[in-house]
Amino acid sequence: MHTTIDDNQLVSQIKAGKVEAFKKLVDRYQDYVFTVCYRILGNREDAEEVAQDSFVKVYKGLSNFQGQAKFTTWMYRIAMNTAISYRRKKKITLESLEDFKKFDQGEIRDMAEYQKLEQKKYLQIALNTLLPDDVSVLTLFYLKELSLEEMSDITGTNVSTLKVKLFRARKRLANALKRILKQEVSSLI
Amino acid sequence: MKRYNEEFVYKYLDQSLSTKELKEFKEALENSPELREMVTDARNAHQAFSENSMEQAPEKFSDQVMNRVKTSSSMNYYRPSGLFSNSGFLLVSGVLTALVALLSVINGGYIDVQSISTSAIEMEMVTDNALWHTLTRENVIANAMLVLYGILGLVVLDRFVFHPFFLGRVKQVGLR
Repeated sequence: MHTTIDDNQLVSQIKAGKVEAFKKLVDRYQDYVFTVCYRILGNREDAEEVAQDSFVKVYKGLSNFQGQAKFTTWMYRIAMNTAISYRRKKKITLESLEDFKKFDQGEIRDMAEYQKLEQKKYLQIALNTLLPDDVSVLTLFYLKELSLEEMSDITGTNVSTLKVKLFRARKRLANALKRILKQEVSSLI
Repeated sequence: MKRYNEEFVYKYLDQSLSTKELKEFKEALENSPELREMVTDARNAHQAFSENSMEQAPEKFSDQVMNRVKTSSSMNYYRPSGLFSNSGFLLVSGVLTALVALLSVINGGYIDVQSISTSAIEMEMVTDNALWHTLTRENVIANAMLVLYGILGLVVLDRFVFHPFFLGRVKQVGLR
């Protein structure tokens, strides 16, 4: 994640008129922003659109970026808020187990890959049953790039509240995953 | 034996237990099927998320973002320094210059308060005068030169005074 040119240097270059410097920022963080959007929205099409919207918002908002917070903290906040408000405004279709089954028909090379895909599938289905706030907190936590203080800046909650939120979200996720796996097992028997 | 709650289970998964706590927890884990189930459930979710924490953005994602950025109107804000600075001064000066030019054309190339206030009948009489025509032609050239000098002056002022000032402010305020 850390590269030779610092984020703030790239921001200065963009403000000085070097638009191509923004591409470097997009290349650097596209997976992170896409992941946040995908986890909250639960399908790739909407996630792609919202991730793009988020980057356009980041670009437009650079003039207001004071550099007091870390660039990534500010960027995640924009991505998260954009995704949450998109999910609230639009009736989006969360990928269900059936949707995943359609993609299962593709070629899978080995067992490990199959297991990985299965794990990913059940994780996203479990996440789709949670509230967007829970998903946001979990996603930020598992990106493993952010401290609790940074996460509290992004979510706008204090650290102790955030810890409680995180604990509850993890518990809900574990329960949701357990329930889904149980359903799957009983459908196979 | 100490009873462990789920909060302890997550501390265990995050490896944030002290050596002593870890030892006690492992002992409890061996003796309690209920605790083992709790750990298994939490670990499943924890592992699934840890191993799939990152999704890959679609192909050519950054190109698509750049296309949208380049077509967005906000592009003008970060225009490179030069004649088209972001101070907005050129816009104002352009409008003023256009107004001056328009007035010159309406007034036959001669900006004179007296002629502007002249009534329509008087204007007709004046326009019949051959000397006035000569003067007007001369004044068109003079006014055109005036407008050109004006534009040049404004550009120089913008390029060397206003733009460096505003750019300095942006750097000072925005990137401290």
